Amino acid sequence: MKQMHRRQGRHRNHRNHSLYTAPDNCRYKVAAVPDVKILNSLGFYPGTVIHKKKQYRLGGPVLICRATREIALGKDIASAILVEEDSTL
Amino acid sequence: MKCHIIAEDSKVLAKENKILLMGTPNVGKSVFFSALTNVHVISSNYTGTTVSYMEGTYQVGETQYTLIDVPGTYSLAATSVAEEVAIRFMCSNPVAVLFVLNAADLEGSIKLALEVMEYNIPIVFALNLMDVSERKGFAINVKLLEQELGAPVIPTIAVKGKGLDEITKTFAQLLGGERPALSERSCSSCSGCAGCGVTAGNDGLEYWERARQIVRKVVSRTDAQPNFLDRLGDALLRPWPGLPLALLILLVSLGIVVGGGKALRAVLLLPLVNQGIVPFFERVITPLNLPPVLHNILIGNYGVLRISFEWILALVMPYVLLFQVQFALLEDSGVLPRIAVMFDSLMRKLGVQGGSLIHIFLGFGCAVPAIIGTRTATTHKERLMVTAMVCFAIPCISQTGALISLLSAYSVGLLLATALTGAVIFVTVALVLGKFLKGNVDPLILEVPNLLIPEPRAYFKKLWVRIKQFLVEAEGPMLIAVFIAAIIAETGILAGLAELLKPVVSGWLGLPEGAVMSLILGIIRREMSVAPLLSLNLNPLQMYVGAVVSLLYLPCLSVFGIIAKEFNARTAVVITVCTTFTALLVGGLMNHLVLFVQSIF
Repeated sequence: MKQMHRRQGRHRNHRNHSLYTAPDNCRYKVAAVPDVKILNSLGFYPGTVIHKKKQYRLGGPVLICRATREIALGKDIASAILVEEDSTL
Repeated sequence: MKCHIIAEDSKVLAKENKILLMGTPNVGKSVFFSALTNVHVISSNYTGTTVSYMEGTYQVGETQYTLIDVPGTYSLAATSVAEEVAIRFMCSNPVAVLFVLNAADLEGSIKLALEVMEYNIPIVFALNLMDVSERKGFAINVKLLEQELGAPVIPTIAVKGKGLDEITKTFAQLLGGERPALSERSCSSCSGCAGCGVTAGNDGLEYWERARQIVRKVVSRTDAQPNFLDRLGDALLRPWPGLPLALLILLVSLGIVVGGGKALRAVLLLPLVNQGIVPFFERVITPLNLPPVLHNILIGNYGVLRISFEWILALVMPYVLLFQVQFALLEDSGVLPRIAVMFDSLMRKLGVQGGSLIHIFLGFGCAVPAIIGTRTATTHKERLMVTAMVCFAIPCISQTGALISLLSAYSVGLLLATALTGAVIFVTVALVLGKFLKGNVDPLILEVPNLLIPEPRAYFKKLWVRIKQFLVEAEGPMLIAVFIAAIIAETGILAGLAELLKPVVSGWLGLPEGAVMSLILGIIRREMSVAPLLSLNLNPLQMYVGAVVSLLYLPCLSVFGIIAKEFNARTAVVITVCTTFTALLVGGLMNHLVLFVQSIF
């Protein structure tokens, strides 16, 4: 619950964008994940901090780092993940 | 109350003394399995190599246990087939779990470990990939990790065999004393597991939180700089220089297989067969004065003792051997998933996703493992699409070898023309199926493994397993094909069939009557549809048409069997009918098209 409040608090200050359109090479905090179980299994929850490394052109995937795990997410799934800038640096 | 609602009454599940080998995907479980049981299983550097479980005998002290290599999963939430298999095993009263942690990605590993520990089964942790972890600059306090997890943790580098004895010793201590009675782990004392759907409303977030706290305590960063492999691994993920590098790697691999295979065939194997083996048998058999039919079946033009060596030893083996040498390197290094990521956008436009590329690459070896590998696909549509694409237009390495021998003897251009035709069919099949098959294909979700230098021990073991597998599984059907060829050619059946199929073979496809042999043998194995063409003195157009027909022709008997098993008999029949029809249609059309163009100029 505490986390939810924190998230909503930040919500006012920061614009949410989809992981797909968010700029490369930045750290983000996940704001919302679609209901795809494998994303939870890989550790994507609201509040998870991820590093977007790269977005491939021409409808390619997004390459992200979650803790020490490097994961490629296809365009459709990356578009459905909402992120906000991470200000906890 | 029966807890394990999805438990099956299978022999393996019912076995006593089971130790489960578990962990996240691509952490090296299969390497442990091979080393601890001496049953050789294939391991690779990408997720989903083990798509079903494997069992083997594991000797701990005086007792024999059954070690089970459970497919790797990211959670125990029963969201995929692999996870269901894992849960089924967790619920089948195993005596212990050997859980393999990834030292280079501890958080995700510990998260799964926490889920597994909910089942209250004695557990030993192997902290694997210690070398990669050190390379990446992590220092792990193993003693502290043991305290946090409340179970023994043994640092290992499985591919080098480090720490394996320690694991067996630990199991001996753990299981040597009084064995925990089965009733202690029964459902009545269980607080709920994914097996019975009681997960206390936990969607996994709590496990992640606890895993993160543990990692924070036990892992510290050293000042290790990313080394060459890390930088190369990163470079291979960027379009520049990754894309040219990937193409270069694939081209060099192709060059080694094609060039090396041709050289091996020309320099070593053809002289051996034509000047050594076949003349030897001729000298042995001719003085026997056998009846002419029997003599011809043994050593005539299509004689068993001639073509089994000409086709199998000199035509197929050099390419199969070199392909396995090369492909095992690609698999173990972690290059394939990087190519899958970079080509995801292209594959997406074809209606599948980048991860399917790994199965398609497997198909260049043999369609059977490729089709089994598609079990990792998340939707039925994707499985079926990839299976059909492989069956239609991806030649297995034996067939590729035969095609190279047939076409490049005349010109490389002919080989390229055939490859291009195959590519057009490949794209067409993907687009047509993508449009007309019901269902959808999930987007790419792929963990990118660390780039590794293949460990010689594991590499050679794998190579040996693959080649042995080829000899055992392919040799039989190839010899059967050779026998059939000998009998129908030397008894006059071939001439009869040729007369019957003349309108198709000669009229429509423009091939000599003898090519009917290709269509018959191609039913058994794909390369056998090419081999008979070699001795027919074809003109370039006939070579091209013959190659295209054989490339698109029906999948071999083993592939038919595996499609029937993995999907159903109807699917296998439909694919077979479609490929055969396409082969004859495209072959004939190309024949008439070229003839038409030639008649104009």
